[in-house]
Amino acid sequence: MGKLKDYIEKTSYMMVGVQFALSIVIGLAIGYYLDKWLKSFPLMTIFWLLMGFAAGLKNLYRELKKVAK
Amino acid sequence: MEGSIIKIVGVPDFVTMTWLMMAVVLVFAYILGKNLRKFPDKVQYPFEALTSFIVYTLEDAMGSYGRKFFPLISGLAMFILIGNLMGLIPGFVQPTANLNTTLALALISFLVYNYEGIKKHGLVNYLKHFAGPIPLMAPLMFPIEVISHLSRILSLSFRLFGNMYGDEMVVLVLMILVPFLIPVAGEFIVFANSILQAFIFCILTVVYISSAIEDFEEH
Repeated sequence: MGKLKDYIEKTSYMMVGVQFALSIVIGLAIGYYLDKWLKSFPLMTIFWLLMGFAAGLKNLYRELKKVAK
Repeated sequence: MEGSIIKIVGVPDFVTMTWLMMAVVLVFAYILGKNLRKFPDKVQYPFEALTSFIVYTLEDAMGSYGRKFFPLISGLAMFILIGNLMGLIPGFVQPTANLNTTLALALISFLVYNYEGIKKHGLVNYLKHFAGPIPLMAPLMFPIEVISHLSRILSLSFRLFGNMYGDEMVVLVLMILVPFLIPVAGEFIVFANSILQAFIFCILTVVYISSAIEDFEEH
């Protein structure tokens, strides 16, 4: 059943695109609500938006490393 | 498709449908379990095939440790599969075409794989893996990892919800545009996609659990 294992691993590559987008959205949401709570409008939103972007990139990098192996 | 035919006052449609589905599946499972044969007949065989497929998948991903998750994965598979296929019956709505149901399923998967990771490695080690290899970068890496784990819940729930809701809408729109023979194609999409989405949800849960319990050496 070695073939199935490859298949299972490849299934997780399908997630990369969606997760890239969703990480940014989640980062934005966290920043927005933190700003609402702390009343410091642009700072946290921008910071967490970049954080979400970085999370998406890190995810992409991790999957790419798995492909390259 | 537009609202269910069975209504209970004060209970949303998808909850009624979930209860109905649970009742049907449980009664069916009870009857099937009572009449198990050594040489499977037409009814028993598909379920045996499904069972052995899930067991093979789990053992492939996690070795013998994976057998522990058979009840969880097969439960998820049956729930999602039957829930999706319910959309084919006129007058029934799919429980999975509602974000609440899919979010609950995704949360179950999320909690299970985190619990397994913590149980395998211990809480401190599991959180340390979040922080990454370089101590200086840890405050930066920790929120990044948390975001990427949270995005798993959203992507699991939104994929299932979006696919099922979208399929339903395709059939409805086709019914308005061409109310003759063409909506059958839409129903076929619902049929094929419901099997595919159940498979993807379960496989991703398996992948998440196995990635949570694997050794963290190579990151």
